[in-house]
Amino acid sequence: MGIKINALKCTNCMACEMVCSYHRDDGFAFLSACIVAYRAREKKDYFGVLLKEEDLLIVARPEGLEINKIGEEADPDKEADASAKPMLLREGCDLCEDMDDYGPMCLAFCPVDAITLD
Amino acid sequence: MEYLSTDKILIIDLNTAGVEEEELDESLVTQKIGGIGITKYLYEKYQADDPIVIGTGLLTGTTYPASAAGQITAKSPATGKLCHCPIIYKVGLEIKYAGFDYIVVKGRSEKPVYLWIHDGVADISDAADVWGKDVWQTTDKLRQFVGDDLLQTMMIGPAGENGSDHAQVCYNHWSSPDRFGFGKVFGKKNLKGFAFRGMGMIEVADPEAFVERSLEILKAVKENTFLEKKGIAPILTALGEEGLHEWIDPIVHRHSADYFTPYATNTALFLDEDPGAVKESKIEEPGILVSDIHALLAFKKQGLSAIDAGRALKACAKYGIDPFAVAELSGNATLDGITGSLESIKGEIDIPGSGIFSPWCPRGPIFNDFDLSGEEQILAWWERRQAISMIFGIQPMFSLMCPELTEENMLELASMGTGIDLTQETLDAVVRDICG
Amino acid sequence: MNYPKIGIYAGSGTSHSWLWFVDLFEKAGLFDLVFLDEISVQNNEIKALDVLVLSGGDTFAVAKSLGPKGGLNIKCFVEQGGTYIGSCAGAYLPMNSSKTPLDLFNFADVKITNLSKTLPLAEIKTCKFCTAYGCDFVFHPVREAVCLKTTPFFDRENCFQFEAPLYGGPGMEALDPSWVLAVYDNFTPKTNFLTSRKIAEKTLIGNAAVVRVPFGQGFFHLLGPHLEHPGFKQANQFILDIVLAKTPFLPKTKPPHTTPRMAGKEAKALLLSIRRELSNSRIVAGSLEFLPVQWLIGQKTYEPQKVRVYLESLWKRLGFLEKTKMLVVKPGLGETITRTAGRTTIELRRIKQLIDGQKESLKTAIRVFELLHTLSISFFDLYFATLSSGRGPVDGEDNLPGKSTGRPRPIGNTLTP
Repeated sequence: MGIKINALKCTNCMACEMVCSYHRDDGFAFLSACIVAYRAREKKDYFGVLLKEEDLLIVARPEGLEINKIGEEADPDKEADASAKPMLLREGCDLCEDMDDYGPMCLAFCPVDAITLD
Repeated sequence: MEYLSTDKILIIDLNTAGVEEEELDESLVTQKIGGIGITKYLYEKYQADDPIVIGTGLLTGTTYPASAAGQITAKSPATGKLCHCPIIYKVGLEIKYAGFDYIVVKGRSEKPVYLWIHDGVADISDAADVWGKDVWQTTDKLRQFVGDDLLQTMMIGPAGENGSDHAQVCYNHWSSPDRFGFGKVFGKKNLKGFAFRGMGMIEVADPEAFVERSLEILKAVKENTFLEKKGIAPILTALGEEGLHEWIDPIVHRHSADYFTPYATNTALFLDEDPGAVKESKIEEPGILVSDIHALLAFKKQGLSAIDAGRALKACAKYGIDPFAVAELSGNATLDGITGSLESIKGEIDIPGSGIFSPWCPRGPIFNDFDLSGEEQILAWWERRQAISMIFGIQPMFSLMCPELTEENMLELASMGTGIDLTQETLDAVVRDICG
Repeated sequence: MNYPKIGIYAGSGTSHSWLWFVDLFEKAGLFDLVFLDEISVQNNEIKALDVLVLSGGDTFAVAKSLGPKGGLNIKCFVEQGGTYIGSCAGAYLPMNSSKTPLDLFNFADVKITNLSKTLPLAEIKTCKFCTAYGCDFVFHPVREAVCLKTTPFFDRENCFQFEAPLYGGPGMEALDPSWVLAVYDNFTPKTNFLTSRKIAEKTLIGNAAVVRVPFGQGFFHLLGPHLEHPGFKQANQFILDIVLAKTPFLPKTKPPHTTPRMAGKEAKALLLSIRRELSNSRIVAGSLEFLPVQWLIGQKTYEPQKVRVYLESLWKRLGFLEKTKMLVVKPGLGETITRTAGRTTIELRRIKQLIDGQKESLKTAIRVFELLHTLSISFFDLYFATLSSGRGPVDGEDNLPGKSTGRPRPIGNTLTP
């Protein structure tokens, strides 16, 4: 079972990132989230979601889902992209297993239901 | 002020390049709550120095739905009144996380500067490299200099530098709710703008209860059927405008939302790229992000095509001028005529009601009727709703859509989050003080 | 209570894992920390230490930068009763080797079990799988958490299992079985296999993970996994037991109050300038986190995220310094910290521009990591001098507020009775 993200439904509001970080830190910050609203291409209106799992980095792009194994090197023939690197300092998604009342918080708080459980 | 706050008020004196900090006293929050309750207080405290006051709402940057907004409070050169402009997108959020709840900018700098606010540090930085540049060039250059594409900016363009009456403070690359000519105020101070970035943490008095209650409110909000829609066209359609979808849909790329805001109030129009493309465009500037529904509508009413309206909005955002004022006052009905007139826009724009809240927000409820009737009742409601949004830091457009965001639950969450008992009486007093 | 004086090597060739030792010792209340680079080791500043710690990195680069002088000083240090703790690269360093420059450090007759003339098949393509070792290869059959078991030579009566992460460290075979304190016992569900399980088992299971090699009056402790990793509390406690096993500690003859103090506006201004540049650096480092780039520096692979590891380690300690009334600052240290932090920002911004422009950034990255080492060493000098000044004189009195015994705090399950 894992998090599934519909990048085309996403509106880049960062709710998932905030509540995931809250789950880690008990305060409001953006440092520790394992799910991150990718928004570094603002002028191009290109945005998606990155999710770090234990061994995988899930990249939910508008054009489709990409799954990278953490630790494996990128294919040298493939064009480098901004998502291929694991977020080293962040813990992998644990589906908020210690938060019985909510389940995964990103899912609970997404205002547009772009996040579901697979 | 321990909770929901950075506990800091920044005081900048451009005359002396002085930077000081004051603690945000809990008694001030008890009396004035936050947002424009406090920015107005600070403006009056430093009035002799003709300040610009930047603020954040008490709930800004939390898990309360639509807690996206900051505020600019200053004397408008257009109206002569003390006016309040919301700070939207992700900019309002970044102010608080950059380490300050409020920023007072007094005086005037001898040479052009910008304020680089980061992680509780305020640097008055030389703006020589960006003075004279348009808003887009400025934001791009500063993001490149600082090394972070997530830098959030409030900048003026040539309009503000040249003292245009309708100069606008723009956010990142985009037009803002500034209808007050705050860009001119910045320009007069030789202040190019602000850059914000921070990785702070906001403590909460009762985080579990706060988050739990936020989720309950969000669930109630999500019951609204209007949330199936996205973007600016449905808003205009709901306000009675016809033909928007047919006009604009062919160039719509995607819709995006301000921080934690359930409705996507921003629509990206692709002017130089296939709007259906989902991969990252190879074109550096394929279009424009639109949140100013009245400006867009005004260009439509001039007879411009959607693409030309988009180009006009883009030109205004780069030049740093209020696009609604341009549409209304340019006297031109072609794209070339409009973009050619930017340097000479003159005249007045009607600002309804008390004239202290931006008419960027439609003057009435959207999607829901809030059980209102009659223009007088609606305007009174609108003024109060704007005040409430800007006290607590709620995205003001969304607050006009959503009856589930009530004064009661805003007070409830604010009290829960701060550990201070904030009452309806206090809120009423603050609103009265603001609205007169 | 006399605390051990612990030197942590943070010079050329080290990666970021020495920061984990800093966290470990600070959490345990061991504040008498000294941060060393190759010059200070060559100048024999380790003479006055009780414990010398050398963590992960590029073993060859470490050896090269320490050179013959550094090697000799380490030898004398341990011979005269010092405790050496080396994890990962720090474990490889003193093992007997014919390879230059490692042959300057032949202090421990311990064989590497993950050494081969021909590489086994890699299950995962990664540059972290192997390192050239002269004509041979050191290969790494697994990464991440493995399970260790203590031996009767660590504790005669109690045998414990605990987990620790392996990131390129050695499996070992000791000349004398009594040197072996813990063996690789099993893998864990989190173990990442870079070769087949069969080869991994053959290379590691039953072989030594932690050895203690007597040398003169002291010991070389070689740790294959990173027992200092913050996510492994029992492993951390194991290290503390080693550190504290050496008693009594050297008497500290130098009183602590000779170092100048800084307070008031001067201290505030210094800390503001440090905060400014750490923030500037941290902001760039945060954006580099998402960029697809790696740098091969020497034999080690570095990712941009590692820059943030250094900066976060300093950043989280800044708040304490800002709240404290008095800083303990050696002359010139404040300027060094500010200047180095400012240069770090400039170089990090340069890296971002180079990567955005799709240009080569390796040279700049090398400079950045060198600067981060210098910055970290200087910052920690300030931090721990200030922190330990709150303890009072080190000749026996313990004035730590709220710490009635003054004994180092256990931070995990105590492995020794």
